[in-house]
Amino acid sequence: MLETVFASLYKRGGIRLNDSIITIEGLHKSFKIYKKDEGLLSSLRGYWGRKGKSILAVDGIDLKVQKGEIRGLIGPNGAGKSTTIKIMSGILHPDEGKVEIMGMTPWKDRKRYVKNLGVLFGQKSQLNWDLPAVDTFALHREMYGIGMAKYRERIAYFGELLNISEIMYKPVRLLSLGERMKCELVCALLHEPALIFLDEPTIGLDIISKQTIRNFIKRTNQDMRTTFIVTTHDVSDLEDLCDKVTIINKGTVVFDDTMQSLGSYFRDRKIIDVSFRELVPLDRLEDYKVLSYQALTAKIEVQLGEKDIKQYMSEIFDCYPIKDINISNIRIEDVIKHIYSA
Amino acid sequence: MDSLYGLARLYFWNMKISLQKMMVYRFDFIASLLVSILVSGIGPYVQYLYFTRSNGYPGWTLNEMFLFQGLLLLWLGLRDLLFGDIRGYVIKFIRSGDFDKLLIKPYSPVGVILVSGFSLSGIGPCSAGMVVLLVAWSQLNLTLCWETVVLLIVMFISGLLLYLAIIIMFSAITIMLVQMNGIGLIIDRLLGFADYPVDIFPKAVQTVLLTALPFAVWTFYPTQILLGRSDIGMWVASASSLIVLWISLQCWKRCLHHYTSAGG
Repeated sequence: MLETVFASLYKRGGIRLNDSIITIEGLHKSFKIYKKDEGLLSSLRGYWGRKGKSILAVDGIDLKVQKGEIRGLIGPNGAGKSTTIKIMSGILHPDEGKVEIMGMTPWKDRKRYVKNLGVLFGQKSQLNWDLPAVDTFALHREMYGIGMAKYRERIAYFGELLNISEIMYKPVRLLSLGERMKCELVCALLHEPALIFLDEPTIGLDIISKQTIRNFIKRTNQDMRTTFIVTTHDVSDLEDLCDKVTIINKGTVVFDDTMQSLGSYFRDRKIIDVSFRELVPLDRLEDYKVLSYQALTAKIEVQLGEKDIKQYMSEIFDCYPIKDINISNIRIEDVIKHIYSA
Repeated sequence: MDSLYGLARLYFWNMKISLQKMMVYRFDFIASLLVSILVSGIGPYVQYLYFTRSNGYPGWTLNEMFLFQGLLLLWLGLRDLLFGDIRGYVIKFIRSGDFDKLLIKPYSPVGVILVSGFSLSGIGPCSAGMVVLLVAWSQLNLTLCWETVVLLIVMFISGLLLYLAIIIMFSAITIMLVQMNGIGLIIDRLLGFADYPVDIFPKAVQTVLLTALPFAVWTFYPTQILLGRSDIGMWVASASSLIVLWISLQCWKRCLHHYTSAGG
């Protein structure tokens, strides 16, 4: 039933399946900021003349996203992700560049465009603080012209999937952060948008709430082929949800590939976790790059090249009293850290 | 037209939600209503004291002045009832970056702002205005013909459009400057000119109140219409209101283009 509605929605928007849903080329956006030194005198001086400078927040971003993808969009604070998302949402106008999303230019076709767009700002609530979330849902029904039967069906669907059937009737101010976030998700998805931007959807949530929200995103993506763009600082969000990831740093795209590629970014480097049967002094491991060391365990990083992993293993087995050993790739978190600092 | 209908429906929804929010805190809701009604009666009383202890306003009798005061209170009440909260709402939204949320709704953002201002605080001036108006009406033995009704409707619509223009201009400048309390005070002082009959001011001020800031449409001309003293200036003020609205919308479009949001 939902899939039928979704298909008709796509038809109305003139979108064909398997198209690129987002195409961005050469996106630039700068802001003028004013510098103020410390103290009252500096505030007074500001009345006669302020030192302003232009900051390039987005510096030539190119991006392509396929329909039905869950794309991670990550980067350090101030990298330009939020500005990019705001341009993609039609909130900000870029200085330069081409943005085509669902066949529209967000800031030019804004009203028509946002009918097919859902946005969740993890730190900006759409809910009315003093009223139950269901009142905000009803307002959204009116805003997006959702029929009453359809609305009831959607509310029942979300209620069951997110386990909020009772919660949505309690005043928002009495809800926990996780419960509020689930209700925010409903606001973003109620009108069955083809594209959804989730800005830190799991920020501050406990493990169980995080998992519920991730499962919900995956389910919606599978059931309705909804495209998600997820910005997050939580690596487990990326690992659990995303097919592909785009890393933005200093306003440009520095990585744009699959999660698998990100995981094997350092193909020639491996982490070996070793447990020893008896104490091995640290100086006996000086031939290796030791990442962490305790009396009976050590984590070492090896560079493949002259020696392959088999040679490293036999060398370790020959030289040390091994109880257990585990080989893994460099952690995604460390890869991301490396890319951020590059 | 379709979007105007949509905005009217949205206004109705916002009004319902605003009432629900106020009614969550019942004591505060009832106390605010009572205070609003009591305080609103002070304005006409002060005017009465001024009128009886001075030479009053040249060309105006006490009952005519009451008629003006009744219409003024009624206008202020309706204005606050329909759009009372908007200025605070706009400043709060733009400072915090919450204005982003309006831009992702399938409406014109200025439309969403204008339909978000319902405030029950206007009920006090409205009620007090009705009472003062009825008293003055009976003292002056006024009658109502269809021509008067049409003219009053034209003035009311012009007045609404002018007030919307002021809010739009205020919102547009808020996008550029973010913090607007100072300019809000200037606007309040300027709006104070509408609290007095236009013809008591010098000619230059009268011209401004008919053209650049045609506040005369709010209370002065409706009073003059009821007293059978309307003149061509009424049409000048009405047309000026439309022009001010057009200018404010152009200003809004330009400023919206420069919206920078808040940090992510």
